[in-house]
Amino acid sequence: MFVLHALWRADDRLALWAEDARGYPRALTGAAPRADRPAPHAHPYACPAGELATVLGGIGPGLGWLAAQAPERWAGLLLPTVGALPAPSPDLPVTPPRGGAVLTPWRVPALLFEPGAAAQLLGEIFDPHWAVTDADLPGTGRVEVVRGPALRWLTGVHDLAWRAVGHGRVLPWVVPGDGAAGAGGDGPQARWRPDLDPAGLREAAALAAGCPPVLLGEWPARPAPTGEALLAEALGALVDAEARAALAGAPFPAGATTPERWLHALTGPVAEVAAPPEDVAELRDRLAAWYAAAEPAEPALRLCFRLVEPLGPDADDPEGHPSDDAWRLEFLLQAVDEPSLLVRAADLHEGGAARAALTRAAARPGGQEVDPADVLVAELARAAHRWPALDALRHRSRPSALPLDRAGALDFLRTAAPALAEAGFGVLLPAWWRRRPRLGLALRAAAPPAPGSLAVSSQVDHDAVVAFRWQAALGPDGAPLTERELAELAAAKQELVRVRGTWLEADPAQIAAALAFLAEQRDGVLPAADLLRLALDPEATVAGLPVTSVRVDGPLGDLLAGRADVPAGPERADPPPDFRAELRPYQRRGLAWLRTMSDLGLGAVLADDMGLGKTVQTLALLAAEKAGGATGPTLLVCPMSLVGNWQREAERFAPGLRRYVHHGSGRLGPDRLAAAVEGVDLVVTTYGLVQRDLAALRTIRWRRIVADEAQHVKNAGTAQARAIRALPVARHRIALTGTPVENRLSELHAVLDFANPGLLGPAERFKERYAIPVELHRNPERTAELRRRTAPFVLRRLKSDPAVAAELPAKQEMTVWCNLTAEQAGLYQAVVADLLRRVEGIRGVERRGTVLAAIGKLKQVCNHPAQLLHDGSPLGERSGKVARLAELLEEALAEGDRTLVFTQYAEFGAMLRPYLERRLGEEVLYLHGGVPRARREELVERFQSPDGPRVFLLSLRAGGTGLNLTAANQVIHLDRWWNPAVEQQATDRAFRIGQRRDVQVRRLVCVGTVEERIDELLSAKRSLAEAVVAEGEHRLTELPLDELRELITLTREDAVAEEDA
Amino acid sequence: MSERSEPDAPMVNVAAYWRGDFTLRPEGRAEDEPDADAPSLARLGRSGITAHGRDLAALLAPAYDAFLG
Repeated sequence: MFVLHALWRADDRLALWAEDARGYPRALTGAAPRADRPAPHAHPYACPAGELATVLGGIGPGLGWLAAQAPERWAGLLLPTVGALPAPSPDLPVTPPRGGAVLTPWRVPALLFEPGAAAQLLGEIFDPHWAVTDADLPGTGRVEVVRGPALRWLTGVHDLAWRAVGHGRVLPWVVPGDGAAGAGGDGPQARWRPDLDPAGLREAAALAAGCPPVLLGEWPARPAPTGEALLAEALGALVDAEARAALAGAPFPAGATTPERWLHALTGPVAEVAAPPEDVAELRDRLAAWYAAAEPAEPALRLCFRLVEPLGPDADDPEGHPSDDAWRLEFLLQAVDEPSLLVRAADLHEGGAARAALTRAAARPGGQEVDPADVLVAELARAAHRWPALDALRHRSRPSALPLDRAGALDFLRTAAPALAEAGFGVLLPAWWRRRPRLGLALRAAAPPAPGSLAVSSQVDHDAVVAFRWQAALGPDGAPLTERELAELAAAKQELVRVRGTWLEADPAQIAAALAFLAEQRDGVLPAADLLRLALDPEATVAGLPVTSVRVDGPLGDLLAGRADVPAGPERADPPPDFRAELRPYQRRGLAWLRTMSDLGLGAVLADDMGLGKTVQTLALLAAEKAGGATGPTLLVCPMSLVGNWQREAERFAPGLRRYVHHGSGRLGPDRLAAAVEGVDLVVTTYGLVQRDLAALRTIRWRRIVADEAQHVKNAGTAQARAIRALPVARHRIALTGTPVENRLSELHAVLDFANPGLLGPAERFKERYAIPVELHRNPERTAELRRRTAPFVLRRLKSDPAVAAELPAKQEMTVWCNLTAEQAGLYQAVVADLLRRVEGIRGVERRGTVLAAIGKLKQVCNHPAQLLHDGSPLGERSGKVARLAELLEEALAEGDRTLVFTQYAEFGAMLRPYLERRLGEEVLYLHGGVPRARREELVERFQSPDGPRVFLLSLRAGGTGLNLTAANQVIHLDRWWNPAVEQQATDRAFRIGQRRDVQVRRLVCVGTVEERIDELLSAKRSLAEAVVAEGEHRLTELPLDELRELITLTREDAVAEEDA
Repeated sequence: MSERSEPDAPMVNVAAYWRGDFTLRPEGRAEDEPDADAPSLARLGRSGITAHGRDLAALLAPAYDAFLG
């Protein structure tokens, strides 16, 4: 009697051997294997290979033929051994020896079958019902032959492979060449691989779980033998063999491309694919993507993967530390229509409520019931196309998790997770991986204390250096690593390491770079400006490592932290004694901030709301520096419409500043300008002239350049913007703007780039990093990063800020100075000359009438030439006052304010309305005396409604009394009504009961004209003023000629804007 | 001949080592056939991989016909 045994070897060949019952008694009494011979020894009662071939031939001619083709070889395997002999298998009808058995390697004579032959042999031998057959042996007669369990198991695997091919449940594949591939060469191999349906997968899992251990006993031992692995190998080889057999009659033709060669190798006699490895790898990736994309139609359940970090103490660790290699990839099933139904595979296998819930979720109306366990197995098989590590589980019954070491976990995180997610699987990753703490360098810096002092100075200046210390750190929030921790990191030789409980994807090259850098440059000093650049660049790197954080002590730290608007010491916030304005508390903070920025040589953007006093804060800075002994001119560049305002405000608040206005037809050229501004503190010019007179302005090294209404430099490509950036500046630049630039990021970059050229990088990169993520996607991280980078340089207070509002009066009144255009000035002077010529020879009523008419004309000229000429000509850019009005309204609209605009001339209002509507792009309401009562009420109602028009133009007579217009928080008086009480009444349309916001009131006054003269009189409360107040303009008609001349003559050259000069 | 076995090698259950725990599937179990899933190729769309001027899915179709007999 013979018992047939089989071994599926690591070289993908079937080794068939047999025990011969006749030999066992001889073995018991025979000589024991010689101990001086190296193990393994020959099995003493194994059937010789030649005799085995005879036995097979005795079973049937097909088997005989296969056996005749098979080479005879020794096969090594572990067998239970009692004493010096292998224990007989249970099927051998002999009395087993007494005593315990241990596994020992033995050599057995075997017939070896390549996969193709093995498939034929296993198919021939397969009998699911009977283990025993008989063979007719020549000279002996019939003998019993038992198919041992190992052989029967392999016939079962073959049967599964045969049916898989017969049902088309196979997929063509390519495996990379590793020098150990199967038939056909050492290069990449074309293979058919099983793609079992759920029933097949269940069957495979059952076979794998029940694999006879003797099949895993090949000697020398294969690494980590398991039933699953053996089943996968044997099934794969047998499927390939059966598929090739099925296609033997119709091979794919040969071809030139890699896919064509691969196809040919799938059916041809040679499985090796003769193609470059990179082409083969690409083909494999494309096949994997193709197969993984084959999701079941309308899947009800989704397979999810959750990577679980090593938790709890390691049983093998004597001190109970957690193992860093005990990672686990958990499998879960999720109901597609009910994502909160997420069940761990382990719970699914236990049955109960979780399984029932998933079964319900998987059921489709009218469809078959779906077993969630089948979905799990099938989807795992699909996922294995994307991540071959899952192949190990393909034939495991009740798979629930895959244990991983660190390398496996990292491979999953880096490559498998994205690939699986792309194929539609759920992937749940640890939170730290999403934030990916990386090794970088953290900088700690402080201004070095002065020798002998104990405290760090409260000030830093332009030339300050700061002492620094670098430390390695993990991520932006991670505390710096100690030297020991970094050294341990370097020694770990792992790419996934745990530091202080946090996992880190470590790059050995980066660790080495950090160590080398710290060894050389750990400490030192560097200029404050360089420090700022490091701190504010989110992509800053040092020695190839990211700068994870910069921590700075002292005022520089406050600045970096965006704590600009903090109470400062009196020495920083006090204007000098000769400064003639009381700064409000927020303005004092602004002054202190401007001084800090100036000291540091950093550009500043003062972006307070309109009316909060950007001008006065800037003048206070200049005055404070002058008082401190600073020298050198500040160049203030502003729109034409603001030149007069700066002149007047400087005169009024900072009379100690020496001023120079560079404008007008007589302005100086390059040869004389430098001398003219020698010793001057403030030079005022316009954007237009900076471009036109760049050569002259470049001859001076400016202490500071201030760009007022800095939105004029928002387009860095314009000649004007290029010109102002080309001016040499010794200390820093200041941008003043009331436009909320933070809402328009391209403008924010332009303004900040003017103030601090290059600090925020090129506009395109800025746009890519912020404009799109912040403006379009409202990305909170980028928004916070943008705020962090820009906060040190931008000081913006809103009039609605509670802290600011508390410091403001409920009604703020201010005078806005405007220039005349050349056209206005020409007309103005003509009216004056005409009056002075005519008034000499007339008296009484005629004189009064002539003077009154002339003053009226002058006021009209101040408003706009078209108002005087009554010619219906377009308004265009012909009036400094109208230009300023439009700017103010634009600013107010940008801040969400509503504005009343009063004029005493209904005709002017009618001209202004269409002009303003075009300029502002909004409806402008207009109320004048000719508006019927019903329409008047409708206009008021519309203005008062929350969604109504935001600019309301009113003639003083029609709108000055009786109306309730509390929706407005801005009031502009376009032209002066000499009696302040009249203006007051008009103002009170907005500033009255029901007004919940603070109100700003502006009076527009043209510099150097009768308007300014009257304003001075009113401010000085002189007797003439009182008379004017009492009697109106009629009193002016009585003035003697010299006083009249003084009152109306255009006295100052700087009253005229230079653009038209 | 105890010198041939490792002195501390674990004892092994001889019967269990040889037998395993599996059952062979009877041939032609008809009740499984109607449930058999469609051939693998039927679940796949176009591959985007071209050979001999045709998509792989089309090229492989005759092979699957051959498998199914």
